[in-house]
Amino acid sequence: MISLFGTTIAAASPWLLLGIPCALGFLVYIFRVRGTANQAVVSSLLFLKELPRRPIGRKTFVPPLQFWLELAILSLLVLAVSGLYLARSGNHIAIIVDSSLSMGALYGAGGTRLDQAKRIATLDIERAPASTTYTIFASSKDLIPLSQNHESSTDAITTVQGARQSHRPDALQQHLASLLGDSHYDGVWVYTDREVERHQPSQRLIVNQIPLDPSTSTNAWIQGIHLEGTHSIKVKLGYGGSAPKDGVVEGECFESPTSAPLKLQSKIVRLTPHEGTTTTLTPVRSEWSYCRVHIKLEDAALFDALPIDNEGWITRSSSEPTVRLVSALSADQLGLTTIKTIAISADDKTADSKKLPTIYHRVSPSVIPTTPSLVVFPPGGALPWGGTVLSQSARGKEVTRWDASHPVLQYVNPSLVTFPEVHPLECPSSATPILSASVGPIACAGEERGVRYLITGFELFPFEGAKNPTISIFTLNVLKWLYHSSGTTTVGDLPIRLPLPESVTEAGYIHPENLKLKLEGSAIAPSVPGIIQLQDEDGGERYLALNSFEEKESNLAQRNTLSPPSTIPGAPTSSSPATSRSLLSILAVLALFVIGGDLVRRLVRHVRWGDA
Amino acid sequence: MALDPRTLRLLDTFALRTRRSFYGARQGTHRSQRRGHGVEFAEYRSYELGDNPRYIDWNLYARSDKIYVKRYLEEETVSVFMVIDGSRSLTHPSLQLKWHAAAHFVTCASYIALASHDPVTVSVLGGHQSPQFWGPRSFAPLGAFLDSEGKQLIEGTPAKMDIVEAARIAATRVRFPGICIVISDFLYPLEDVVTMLSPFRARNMEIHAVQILGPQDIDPDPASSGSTLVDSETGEEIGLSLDPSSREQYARRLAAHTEAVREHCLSAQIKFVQVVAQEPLAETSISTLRTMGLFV
Repeated sequence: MISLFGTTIAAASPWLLLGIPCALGFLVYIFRVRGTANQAVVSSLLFLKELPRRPIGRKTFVPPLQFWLELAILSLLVLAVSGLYLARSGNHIAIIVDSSLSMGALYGAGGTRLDQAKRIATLDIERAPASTTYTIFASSKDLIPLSQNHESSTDAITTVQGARQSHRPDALQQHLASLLGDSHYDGVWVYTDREVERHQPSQRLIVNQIPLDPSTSTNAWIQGIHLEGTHSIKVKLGYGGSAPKDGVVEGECFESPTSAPLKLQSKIVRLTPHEGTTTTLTPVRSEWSYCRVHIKLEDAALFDALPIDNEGWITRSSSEPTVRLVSALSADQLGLTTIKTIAISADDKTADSKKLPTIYHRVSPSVIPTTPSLVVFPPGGALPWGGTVLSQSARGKEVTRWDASHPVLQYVNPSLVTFPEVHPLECPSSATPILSASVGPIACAGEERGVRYLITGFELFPFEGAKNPTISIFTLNVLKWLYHSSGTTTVGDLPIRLPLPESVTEAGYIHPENLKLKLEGSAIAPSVPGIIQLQDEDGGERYLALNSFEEKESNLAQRNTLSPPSTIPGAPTSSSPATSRSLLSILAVLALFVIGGDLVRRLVRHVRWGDA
Repeated sequence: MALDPRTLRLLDTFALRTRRSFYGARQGTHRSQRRGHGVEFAEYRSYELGDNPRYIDWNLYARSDKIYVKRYLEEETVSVFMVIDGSRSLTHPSLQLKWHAAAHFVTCASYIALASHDPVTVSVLGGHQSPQFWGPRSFAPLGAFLDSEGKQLIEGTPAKMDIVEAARIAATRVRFPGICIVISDFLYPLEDVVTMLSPFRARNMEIHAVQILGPQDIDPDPASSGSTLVDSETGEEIGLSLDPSSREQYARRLAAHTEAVREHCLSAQIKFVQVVAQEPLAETSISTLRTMGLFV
């Protein structure tokens, strides 16, 4: 290990450096045996080959240029193999700034938790020895490196200040484990609002929790937004706080980006901690294309801690929705093609089609769908929302109870229905049973993360229309409730990649304004909630509402903890693979340069390969 | 290849002398195996129908009462076939002195032959032509041919050559048996040398083998500092440093090889001459001509 001007040059395998003198000796031997020092052409080696071979004398060995070139190449390669690396003398610290949604909560006067995290991180960097280098990460759902490796303190402060708020939940626990397992870093500094459990402060891991005032954890947020009927907007609200509060739900609708806003009549709702509240807003005119809904706590003193989750967007589609079918049978066989209120997607395999509302027929989704989903007669087993489908089936069961207030049972008299075979359900916690037989619930409807779903423990298909009116009306109601009345709202982790029809030629944000959006092929990757305007080839315009509802992040009153690993790996002592890799490439490039130079020399001088 | 006036004057004093008589293509100055109407009496033969009555020996008829005709030895030209080894051991740029010495010698020998109107055919082993030259006026084209071949072989891209096969092809171009002068360094395995000369022997020619060695062949490592020695024929390399004992050993092996070639030539009735190429070439050529015994 050699220290030079504050920089340390070391090798991962120093014993391999013995290769350099070995290479020198080998080359000298080879050149003496080959005798490239002085070349002479003879008529024939007929008799010379029979003479006893003696290497060329040491005193007369004058290394030619080729000797030095080959020695340089071998030395560089030996240095590369020995894992030579260049390291700063100071420590290398990984800084993780939590940029999840909850970090947008207001903190102190005129700032957010993220701002506070940046301030603390900046102070820590300024206090650390000047030789320390940093790599900065932003942690939300993904761990995003914000900087190059080994940034100086000045650059690190600039990078930390540039960390941006995201709308995603955090996965800090996994990110922390992966960085602690990386021997590249001498220490990991974490800046988060999550409460730390069982943390033994060590030199390797320092977790800086943003000090939270319980009185500032009051927050109201929008949990979901749907179309009720033809033009009423149903808003589901969440609230986290110590005591019930009143909130004002208001909004405005637009017919087009240039039209004047149509104000919605505001409503005062009573918000109860940890309980969802639902309210419906009805525009005075039905001519609107998209709306913005906003929740505001009435009490100005108890301000809403996290304002960025107070907004929701919804659009209204004029055409029938396209639905994906996941089934062993075709849409024809299931009679879905006779239903004119939906269109069935021809392709159910591509990633793009998976963004469509879906009908799961006799299968169960493996993960919670991000689009409205109808699960028909799933096989026995657990459901992704929670709850289970009981494997034992019951035959010839009549409906004994039903929730007549539910929209899917409008105009339906279930008492007349007897199902030949049913699978009893245990409804997920986010769903309510809407149909029950003597064996238990057989249909559950619910909403998870703003996305509706309905599970039936009996067969709905084939759709027979007037031949089987009760089931047909029930099916149409279900499809309307799932796919029509929800409006065209996309909910997901942002940024999200959204597939678009081929006919879309242009896409751009209307709200927030002045935010550019690039059309990548036939998809877009929006990063913030809002309204996106899509323009078709034929000049038609459509709107797409984008929301990001994260109850886990929005509910600031809920305890959100971080548990660092009980055993933290020690700091690295020798080589750091990433830095050695960087030197490896430099050495390899140098070797290539030398080889290239030798090639050019040979070409220019017309030197044969066997010659020096 | 031009010869200086002094050399030309010296060459004018030489004449081609053959040990054997050959059939010639034209009337010339050398005794031929053909019987005809020369000056020197050869034999009597019984008169046959069609013989010219002018050649009847009337005196003998008077004495013996039988009719005989007198026959005389014919004097004709002798074909000279010059074969030069065009392999890289003579034409490598580092060894080209050997080629120049060989070409100079061929020029001198051809000058003597052409001066007495004997046809000269020059064949370069590895070349594609074997032109025949006839008469003193074709001396200039012969020099130009040698210059052109030499330039091509020395400066051109070296091609792999099988010396035995090249000799066999050259021998097929012989029109009349005559004198064959093979010029090479003969630094091949003995069996190759034997095989190389046998096609010319098969043509019933009077063969003269001229071994031309270069200074590098006598001392392959003149710097005494160790060298990479490169085989001009194969490109094979060996690194070698010659000490005095090694040099002596090399000289012994070279001498033994030369002696073996000489022995073979002797047994095959081939006149063998060894010459070391060195400047001035004229002196080398003249001394070689004298040593060969072909030119007096």
